[in-house]
Amino acid sequence: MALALSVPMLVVAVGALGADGREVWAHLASTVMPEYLRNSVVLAAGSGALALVIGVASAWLVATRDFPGRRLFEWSLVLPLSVPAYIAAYTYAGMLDVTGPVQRTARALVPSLSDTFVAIPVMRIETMVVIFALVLYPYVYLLSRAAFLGQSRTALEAAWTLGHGGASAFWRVALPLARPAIAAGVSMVVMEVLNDYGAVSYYGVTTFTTGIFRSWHALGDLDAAIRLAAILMVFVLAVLALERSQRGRRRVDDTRGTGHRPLLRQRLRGWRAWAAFAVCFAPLLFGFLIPVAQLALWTVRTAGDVVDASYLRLVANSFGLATVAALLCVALALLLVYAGRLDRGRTVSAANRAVVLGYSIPGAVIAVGIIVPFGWIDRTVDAFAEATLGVSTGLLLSGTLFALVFAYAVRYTAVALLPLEAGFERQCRNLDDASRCLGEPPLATLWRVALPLLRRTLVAAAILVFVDVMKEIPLTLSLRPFNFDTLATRAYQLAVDEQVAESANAALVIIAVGLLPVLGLDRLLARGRG
Amino acid sequence: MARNRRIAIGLAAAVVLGGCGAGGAGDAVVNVYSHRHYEADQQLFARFTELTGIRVNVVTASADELITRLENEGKNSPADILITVDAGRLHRAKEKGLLQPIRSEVLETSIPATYRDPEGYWFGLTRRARVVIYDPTRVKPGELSTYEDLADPKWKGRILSRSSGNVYNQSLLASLIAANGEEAAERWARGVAANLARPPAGGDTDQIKAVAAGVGDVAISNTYYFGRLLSSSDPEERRLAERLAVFFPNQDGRGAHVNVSGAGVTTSSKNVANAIRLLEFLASEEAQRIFSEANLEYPVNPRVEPAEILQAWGEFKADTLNLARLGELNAAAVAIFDRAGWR
Amino acid sequence: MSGEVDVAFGRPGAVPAETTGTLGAAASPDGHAAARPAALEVRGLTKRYRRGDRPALDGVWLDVEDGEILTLVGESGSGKTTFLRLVAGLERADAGEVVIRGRTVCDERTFTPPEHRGASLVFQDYALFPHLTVERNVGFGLRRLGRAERAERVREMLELVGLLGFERRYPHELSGGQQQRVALARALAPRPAVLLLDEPFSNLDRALKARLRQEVAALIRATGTTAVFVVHDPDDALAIGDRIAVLRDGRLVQLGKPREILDSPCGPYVAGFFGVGEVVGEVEF
Ligand SMILES: Nc1ncnc2c1ncn2[C@@H]1O[C@H](COP(=O)(O)OP(=O)(O)OP(=O)(O)O)[C@@H](O)[C@H]1O
Ligand SMILES: [Fe+2]
Ligand SMILES: [Mg+2]
Repeated sequence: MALALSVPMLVVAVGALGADGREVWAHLASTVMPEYLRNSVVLAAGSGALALVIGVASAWLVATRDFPGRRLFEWSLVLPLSVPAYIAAYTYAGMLDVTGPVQRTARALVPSLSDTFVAIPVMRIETMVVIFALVLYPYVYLLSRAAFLGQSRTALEAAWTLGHGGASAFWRVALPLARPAIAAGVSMVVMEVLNDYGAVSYYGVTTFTTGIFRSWHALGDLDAAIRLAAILMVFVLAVLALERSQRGRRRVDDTRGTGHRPLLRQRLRGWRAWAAFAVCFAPLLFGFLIPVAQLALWTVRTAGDVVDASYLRLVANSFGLATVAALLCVALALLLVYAGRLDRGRTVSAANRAVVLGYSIPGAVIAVGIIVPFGWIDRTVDAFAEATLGVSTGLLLSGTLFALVFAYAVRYTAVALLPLEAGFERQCRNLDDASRCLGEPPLATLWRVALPLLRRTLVAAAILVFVDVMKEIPLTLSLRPFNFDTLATRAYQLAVDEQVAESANAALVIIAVGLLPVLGLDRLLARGRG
Repeated sequence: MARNRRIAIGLAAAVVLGGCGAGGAGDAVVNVYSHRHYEADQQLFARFTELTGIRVNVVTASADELITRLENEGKNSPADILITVDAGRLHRAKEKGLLQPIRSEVLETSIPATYRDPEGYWFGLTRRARVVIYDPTRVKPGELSTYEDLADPKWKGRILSRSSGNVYNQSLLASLIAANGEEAAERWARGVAANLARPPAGGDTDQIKAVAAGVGDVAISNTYYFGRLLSSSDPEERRLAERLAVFFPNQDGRGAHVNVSGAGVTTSSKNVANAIRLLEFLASEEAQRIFSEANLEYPVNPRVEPAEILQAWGEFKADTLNLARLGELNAAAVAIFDRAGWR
Repeated sequence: MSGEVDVAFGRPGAVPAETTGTLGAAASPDGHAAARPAALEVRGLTKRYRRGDRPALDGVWLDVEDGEILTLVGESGSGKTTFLRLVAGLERADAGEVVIRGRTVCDERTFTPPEHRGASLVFQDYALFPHLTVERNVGFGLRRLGRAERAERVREMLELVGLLGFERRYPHELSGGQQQRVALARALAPRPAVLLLDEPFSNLDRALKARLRQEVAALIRATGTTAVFVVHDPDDALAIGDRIAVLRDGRLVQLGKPREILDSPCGPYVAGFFGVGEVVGEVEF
């Protein structure tokens, strides 16, 4: 199964070996590649670090402290995830540009400014780092929050009794224990940043991924593009391997299966309470409220021209695909992770690494990795059928929703896999063992022990995949069947066509539909543990 | 695990069946792979169906992805027509053997020879000129002349342009290579890159707005982006655009750089007759008028007047370079951009 | 598969009397030859966790008779847990065989997964399922029984361990001793061919520990279950076990009845461990 999901990556790897993109490669290496690499590293490291700080800080506060608004933050801190990065990028640029609401209001309010147009330099790499962090930190938040909550009070209490107070207990116990979860979250942020094309190309930030597209689209050399994608894959693989080897054989599971007593939240007062509030409110404000407000403004202005009945169709398409993909990816990831746990060896875990890679390469390259083998299968089957039966089978796979859903599985199983791996790591192995000793075979054990204990992680994983597929662009664009549009393709195509205001309503609906499961998450949290 | 795989496949199959199948046999259809994604196009396709009863199925994506898809689908590809937003991609598709030559008197009479492939592999449908948008208060009349002139040091810190990753800039540079040779073109790219008021970022619209904000004095842009601002529903955008003006370069020489958005019939097409009918419709006076009015592009059909906003800018002389050359020179142009440090 | 499970979890004595009487090479002669059928036979069991490491378990031979309680003692790290996990099928042995009720569950060719072995393990940390109530924890291994039968068995077990009335509690709502008894009830409920207990008293106070240990032993005896009981306290080992096995650095150094061990400890280590003889300094607890 992992193999099937790795096919596109294999196509890329094999393509890279056989590729003859040497000329283009030499040209890029001697001219622009150093800058591309530098920018990619800056973006990945910068956004990763910032997302880590925002995500872990807010998760820690929400999980272990009590302060005004905590209940609300608990779920709303996930919201920025539903804002596609490229939409956030367009929104901030549009908001601050000469005809954006900021300058417009200033001109309207201050007569002396009525003829002033200023250029605010938004489109730069620094802004890009912040924007990525703002819309992607929820990966870190969600996973580390789950980890903090899942930590037994015992471990923290032990730290307290050993003389480590709040901060010290955080650094010495809670953080190390949550590390796999945090690492998983940050890896997702980094991979998402590395594979982004829409936002960086708009801001004129050249990255490794823009280099891939430059080779393919502008230089017309798909081979060179594939070779670059393979290099990106190796790079990501190295980062993942580094993190894992650093973690080593340390285990962070709860050794006492019974240590599930929920933490008592410490109530914050005075300025501390307000500081906590500010730490949680800032990412929500800049990652969600402001972009959404801007989109709403645009929508009000343009809705009359662009909203029609076809929107229902778009919503249905997006929602349907996202739901199917979420269920499929979580199911696949669950089986893969569990197989890895049973195996305890290297084969499955290596296969799982390959699956994770799907998340790191640009979607358009994965699309090629699917178009090529599916096209080959179609042609082979067709030729065979024609030779033996005299009938043409035509295209069985290419251009079908099956191909699209398969592509989502390739790309987003990682999104479910990483949280689940982190979740499993936190779960005591003795519980599995106990179940096996009581006569339950592996799958039954998975069903009766692991699943209920991981329910929250599973829901979180499904939400992540759902929201990601809602936003998905490149795979949908290049693999979809005829007349098949989603909210994301609609929004994106208008945005790249520089009709940002017109794209706002579709973007807003993406966010609204993405909200549904997040609100479901709220209900789940409200019901507490169980 | 095998069982789950089956479930997965079943699930996906259900989705496939639930989804809309295209090109069902029997009724008249034409299947389009298009890089154009304008509301105007939807309107045109609907009108075509109304006129002929032929259903139009569309997939939109970037031309390069569509070309990859066509290649891999091979002779069974459902696509009948490939539409792109530049002649370069059409040329690339032709070179890869993905298009077939078409003979149609209607097309040949409605579309001037410069805007179509000499062998009939593809046909331009709309024209867009790459021009200079400037602030008349800061640019003296007579200061602007040619694209070549923009490399002159007098423009230092005054020029705005989007990144070289965009095909519009690549085509422009390709036209300069064709006119002046690679070396001169590279010198030009270096000169303009050195004159840029800020590192390239954003789209053409952003460059125009930056001129209004005083970041620079001139912006390189496609005509319809400026047209859209001029006809925007937002009064602020109109006010901003009205302070600026359009300049068509090289009017005393080869003419302003023009590219087309165009279409060709695929080699694998199973509905060639329908495909030709659609192309003929798109080249017709009715369709050309919609292209121009809804999307502010210049018609290719000389019998059709451009939209009013465009007419207000006056007639202009367009470069008559055969557009296939732009495709051939595209890669060379990108290589020059990279060497010249034009991001 | 269910057929096998039935055998494994089957009635005591239903298995052909196949005895070997073989004892560990290091075991003392105790004259226990083939008198009763062996419920568990272990032959040359060896386990190395990582290549190059000293084996955690090194060629252990022993057998446990039907209905017998064998206590397993040894200092920390001597391989007790490893032994239990190998018997239960939670680790793969590098060499050796495990036979449960005459059925080979582990040798060079066979590896019966834990769910088909009929060996129940009470974990050092109990490993109760935190998401299930006491009742459902105890009933966990009884899926093959009908609903009514299962409820009856759960009741029976809770009564046995004195926890009637605690059915709806979650594990974290129980005291350490109560949790331990739930773990025991859960392990006994499917009527395992062999019950394996990993010293579950480490976090209890001394007096309670002693009492519970006796209680557990009594319960095991009351159900006639064959058991291997890891015990840390030498006195308790002597008090509970029909026989005692002493592990040191993964090796079985002595196997015999309490009397025999006290009378003729095999070497200074064992003597020191049980506080007999002159040897001091090796007593580690
Ligand atoms: N998963 C593992 N990986 C590597 N070595 C291990 C592992 N588990 C146990 N060991 C080693 O194997 C040896 C035996 O360990 P084992 O847990 O069986 O000891 P024990 O007798 O149960 O000790 P205790 O009385 O402290 O529970 C020890 O040296 C231990 O360090
Ligand atoms: Fe455009
Ligand atoms: Mg132990």
